[in-house]
Amino acid sequence: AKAARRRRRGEGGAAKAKATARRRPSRGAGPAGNQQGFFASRPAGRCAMDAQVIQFDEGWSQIKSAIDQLIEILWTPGKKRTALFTPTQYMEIYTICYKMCTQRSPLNWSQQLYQKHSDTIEQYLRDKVVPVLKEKRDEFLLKEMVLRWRNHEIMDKWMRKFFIYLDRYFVKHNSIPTLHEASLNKFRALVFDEVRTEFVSAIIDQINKEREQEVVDRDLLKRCIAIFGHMGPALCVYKENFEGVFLDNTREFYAAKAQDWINQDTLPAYLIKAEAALHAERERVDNYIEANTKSSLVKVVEDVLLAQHERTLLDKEGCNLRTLLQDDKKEDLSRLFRLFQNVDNGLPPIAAITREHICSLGEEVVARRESAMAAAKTHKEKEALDPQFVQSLLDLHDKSEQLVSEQFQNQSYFQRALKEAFESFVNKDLGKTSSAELISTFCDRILKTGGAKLSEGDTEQYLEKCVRLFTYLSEKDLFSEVYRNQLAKRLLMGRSASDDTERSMIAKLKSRCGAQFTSKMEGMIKDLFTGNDLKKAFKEMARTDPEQLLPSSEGHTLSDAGPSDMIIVDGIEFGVEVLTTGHWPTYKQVDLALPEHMVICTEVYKRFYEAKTQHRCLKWVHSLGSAVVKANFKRNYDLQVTTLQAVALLAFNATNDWLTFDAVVAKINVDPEVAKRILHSLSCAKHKLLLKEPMSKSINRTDKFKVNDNFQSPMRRIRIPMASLDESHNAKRVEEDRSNAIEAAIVRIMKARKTLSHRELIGELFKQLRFPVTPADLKKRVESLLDREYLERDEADRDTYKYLA
Amino acid sequence: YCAPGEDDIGLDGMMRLCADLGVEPEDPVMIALSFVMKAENLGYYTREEFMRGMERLGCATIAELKSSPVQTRLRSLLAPDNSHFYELYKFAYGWACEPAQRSIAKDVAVRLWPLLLRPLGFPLLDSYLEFVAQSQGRGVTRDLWIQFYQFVLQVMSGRLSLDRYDSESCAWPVMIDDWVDFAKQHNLIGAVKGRAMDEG
Repeated sequence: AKAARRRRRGEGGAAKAKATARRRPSRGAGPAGNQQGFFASRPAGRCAMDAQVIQFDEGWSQIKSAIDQLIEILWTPGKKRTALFTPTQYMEIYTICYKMCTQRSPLNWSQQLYQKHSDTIEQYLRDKVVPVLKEKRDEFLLKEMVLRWRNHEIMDKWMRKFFIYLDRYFVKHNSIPTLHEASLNKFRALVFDEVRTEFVSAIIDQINKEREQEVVDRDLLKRCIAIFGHMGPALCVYKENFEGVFLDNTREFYAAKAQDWINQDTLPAYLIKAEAALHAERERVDNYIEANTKSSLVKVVEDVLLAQHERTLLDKEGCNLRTLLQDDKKEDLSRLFRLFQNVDNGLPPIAAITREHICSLGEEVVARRESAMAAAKTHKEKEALDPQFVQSLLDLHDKSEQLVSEQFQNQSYFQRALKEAFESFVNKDLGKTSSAELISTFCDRILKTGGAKLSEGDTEQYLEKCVRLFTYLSEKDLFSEVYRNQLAKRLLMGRSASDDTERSMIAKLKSRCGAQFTSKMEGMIKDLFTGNDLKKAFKEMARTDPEQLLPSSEGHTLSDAGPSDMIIVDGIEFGVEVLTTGHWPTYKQVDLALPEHMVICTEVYKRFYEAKTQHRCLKWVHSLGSAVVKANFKRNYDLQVTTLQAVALLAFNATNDWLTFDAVVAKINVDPEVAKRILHSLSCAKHKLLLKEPMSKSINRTDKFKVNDNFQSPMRRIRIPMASLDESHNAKRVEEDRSNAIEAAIVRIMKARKTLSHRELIGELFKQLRFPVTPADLKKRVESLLDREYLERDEADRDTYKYLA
Repeated sequence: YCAPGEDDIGLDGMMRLCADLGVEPEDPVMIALSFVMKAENLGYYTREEFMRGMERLGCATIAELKSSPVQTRLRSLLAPDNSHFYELYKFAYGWACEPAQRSIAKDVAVRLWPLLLRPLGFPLLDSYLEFVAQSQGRGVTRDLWIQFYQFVLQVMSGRLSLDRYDSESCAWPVMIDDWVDFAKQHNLIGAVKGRAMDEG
């Protein structure tokens, strides 16, 4: 068109110059005056390119005929919609329009043309389009609308093309809507608004049909929704007219569905349907709804299907959450979690039921143990129940952890549910032995030689699991006490399977409870470690300076021969293990009367130790010592015994006669209770080294003992075990430690707060103390501190305490 | 009254003194007398204490000490509504302690309490004393001594209700907590309620 224009300009340059609208087109309509004089005849088929002025009616009638043509094409179905005008045709109309807009006032027809543009569209829409639309319903309405809109787009395009000059200057300078805006407004006001309600409901009907599994024309729906977008900027028309209605409708639809499903379906079936519905709705949006609506839509469906009915669903008769948990329905549980994850407060009720479930399983384990304990007759049967119990707890923990991590994605509510559940039944009263003890003993079996036979990986795993179980204990200090005693035994009797494993276990406990908790345990291991250096030094001294250890004037011999941790005194190999008091449990003091040659050994060591250290005092713990006694019963045997047993046996060297119980007691200087244990192991157990009269199974003070000359055994080296003298732990000590801890806490709190009411103090203590206490326990400690004048009561208010510096 | 060679009035002297005054050794008036003397320990008086007491009472002879105005004055100190009673009560504890001890033995407390608290008219006093006597533990702390008096006052005035007694929130000594439990179990509380209502 530009090229054509240029050509034409060339042709009638001068004349054109006059008519050229380099000046502004004037407002107001020019008089439609007598056109005869100015009208140039137009050669048919060719654009008039001359200085002739165009009158309004004339120009308009030409333009109008083109528009009519356009309308006719649009109105006739089946006609092709592209390239409706040839470039030549187009240029003709354009030029007329152009000229009419650039003529000098009063012949400048911009205003009129602008008006005509608007009016034509309006007329077309009102007279032709709307009536047709209003006849239609449902899907037909939708189709018609899409068609009419498409047509309008084409119409708008051509109208714009024809009248484009108006857009450039007239519109701009007068701040009025552009041609496009004007035509859109017409469409919206005359067509869209007229049928809007029916349009929206027709769409929604289709959607509901699709929801009921009927096939609908998605493409049609997509186009319909797109129309909303065209009707106004930023989807405002869409939001105002469609979205709200759509969401409300969705809500109604699914509310009804929910009712049906609740009545007919089990929980898992309901969930499957809900999930499918959500999926369908999401997919619907992806396909033909505006993407912005997705999140609100999903929220509506989630609310109606899930949030509103959560309680009913979870507690449904027949198959509900509890049954799913009991039957381990993994997929259903995962689905439940997935769906309720997005619902506000959807997860806590599920977590609560899960906790109850785990609790009840745990309580079952405890109940089983109780009934098994009641039913078990022998001591051995009862003992076997202990590891079984711990194993059941570990298994339950594994299973629960798996549930939480697999089905519930380790979400925090569920982790807490697991923790609370375990804390509740792990601390249940089991009678004589507490869970703390049982778990520690379980670990003991793993850690000692000859205990459970596990690979290194398995050991590590088991210990890790035990530590996790340990974290649920409220009486952790009791565990520590028991564990310490067992650790000591393992270390001193050389029964620890692996040093590394011991350290690793302590490290685990340390990371859970802090260094103070494990400091004594670490101290024990360290003692043995430094003990090695001490042993080397002892041997060294025996080698380099035996005089200092054993003056030869006393007529004894000493040599540094023998194993690495022993020396030889008078033919007796002997070695010492030094323990730091405070790290180790307290052991029963036994003032054993050692035979002379053993006394010499202890004195040798004492001299060494005093030379090596200062300000230390050695206390012999004979109850922990061991010995190998060479015995001759018809042939030689090596008897592995405890020091106590050794001394008892040696007492029989003096005579071949019967010795009474009391005589033995007097000779070796032990408590009768201790003597009973010693003599029992030597006369009533598997290897009867001593004869007893009478031959009963237990030791009485009236018994008599004699060496069993007829003793024999196929083995040369025999171990004679003895019952332990000490309790598995010192319960009194645990009590004492707790009392001290409470008092320390009271002093600490009162020092900081200076004045505190009784109730507040008790509250603070409950927060700070790490083991179970009753208010009465705390009161007793307060009273003790009152008496010792750490605290006093306030003069004015006897319920308040004051700190006494 | 001193023993020969001693400067203090010992047990024998005490017995004679009591006889001369015409009172039993366990008469509470002796406590009042000790209080006035600011005697340090039960069972004997030092010269200083004796002199101090006589002076404060304005007596120069035993006869004057025995006279009724003086006796009345002494006894009045034992009346619970006397403003000095609390002082005397607190004094009695320290006085009853063995020398260099901080607390008194249980059986001493059980004998001393009624001497001072009987006039208050607490109906369950005997039950309490019995309970203390057969409880564990060797002594009665000063705190318990003082707090029990407060306890009785509050119960008698109706300020403290034994029905709604809450051992966890109140800071009464554990002995009292335990006794209240005991009393509840044996349905003894009723006696107090009635009495308190009469008074209040």
